[in-house]
Amino acid sequence: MDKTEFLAELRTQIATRAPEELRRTVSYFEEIIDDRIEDGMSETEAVATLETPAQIAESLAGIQTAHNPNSYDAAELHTINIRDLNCPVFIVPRSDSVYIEYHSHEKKRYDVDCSNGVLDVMAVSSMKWYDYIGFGRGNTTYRPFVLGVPESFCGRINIVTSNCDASVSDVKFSGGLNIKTSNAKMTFRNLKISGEISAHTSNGKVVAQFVECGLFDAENSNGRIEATHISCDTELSLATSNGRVEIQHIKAGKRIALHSSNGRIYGVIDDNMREFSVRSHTSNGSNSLPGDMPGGNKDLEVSTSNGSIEIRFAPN
Amino acid sequence: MDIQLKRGLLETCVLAAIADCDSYGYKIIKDLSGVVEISESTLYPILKRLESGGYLRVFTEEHNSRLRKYYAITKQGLERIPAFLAEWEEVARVVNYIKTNSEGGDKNG
Repeated sequence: MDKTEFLAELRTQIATRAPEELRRTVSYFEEIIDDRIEDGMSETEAVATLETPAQIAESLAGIQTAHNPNSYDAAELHTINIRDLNCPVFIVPRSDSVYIEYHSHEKKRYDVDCSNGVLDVMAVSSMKWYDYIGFGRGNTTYRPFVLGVPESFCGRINIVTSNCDASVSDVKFSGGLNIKTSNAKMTFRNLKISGEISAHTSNGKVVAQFVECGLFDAENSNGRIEATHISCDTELSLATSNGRVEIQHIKAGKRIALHSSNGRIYGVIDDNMREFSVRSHTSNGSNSLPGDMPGGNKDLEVSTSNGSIEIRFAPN
Repeated sequence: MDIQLKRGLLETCVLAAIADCDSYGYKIIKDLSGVVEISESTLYPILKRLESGGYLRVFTEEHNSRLRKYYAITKQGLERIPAFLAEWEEVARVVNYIKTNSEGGDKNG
């Protein structure tokens, strides 16, 4: 970034300030950069060693984020409900207790209630649309919500956020997970969850790798779904539109359903085709599966339009 | 560090940095860098507060065919430094008390 770009970006970041104040702030930083250059720095160096315009805006706005960590006894909980917005969510393993960590600031608080085995965490935000311009006045809105889950947890986790990524990795527990976001990516890695995993997003991709669970249900729109090494006791359902569905080494006890429109569906199922009653359909594309083949103990439903279906079977 | 405490410290540091001769933003940061870490975005509101409180005044002068803002300490600003030091004596007494009473009862340590 050179000086002009830096100052333009700074102007955007503090655009909501009074015009006179805006002018003063920009000229202050312009002077600092000029002085640094005069002192022997190159222009890029002078800019690079300053805080970023977003950080400066945050600092000037005086938004102080408070970091709030908290732990709960896993044995006392059967349900965890988290409602956040415009905040990335990470679910990670934790050795001893259920752990939550979030950042509040003057425009966003969290109401936390823990009673009768239910942990409720709800974000209450008074941020207006203009607070989000230019990545929301610094990074305050993008500090993640972290939920740590121990293996001893037994129950349900329901999480909703928006416009930000959600990621679940290396977690093991007995129970179910319901997770929702929008306009962002979702990642599931190295999971062992006895019950159902239900995932919803839009306009972002869904990636699942090495997941063992009772049931996996991922729904997306305008994004692709990649599922590798997924093993479900009962059902595996992957549905999107305007995106492809790619599977590698998936298996399920009762039913596999893969749906897209405007996307191709392809990959490998770790099973014998004869195990399945197959129903498949595409309108504009080749299809490697029989359209309607009854007889198996399990169901395989594959459908798309405007995309080909290329499914191979590799029993092991 | 307590925000109020730090704010008071930084404000006085800035006043001390311009007590002997008028200075400008970049130089203040450089002069203070050996003593306390202060970023440009931290200094900016401090200068503003000190100006609106009447502890310093701002004037613009041409330097290498561009304008540079200089900060000059006022009488009020000069008075604030000894006042701060007197207050700090009190803090130092408290710190000393905490220190001596937390070292395993060794009141002389």
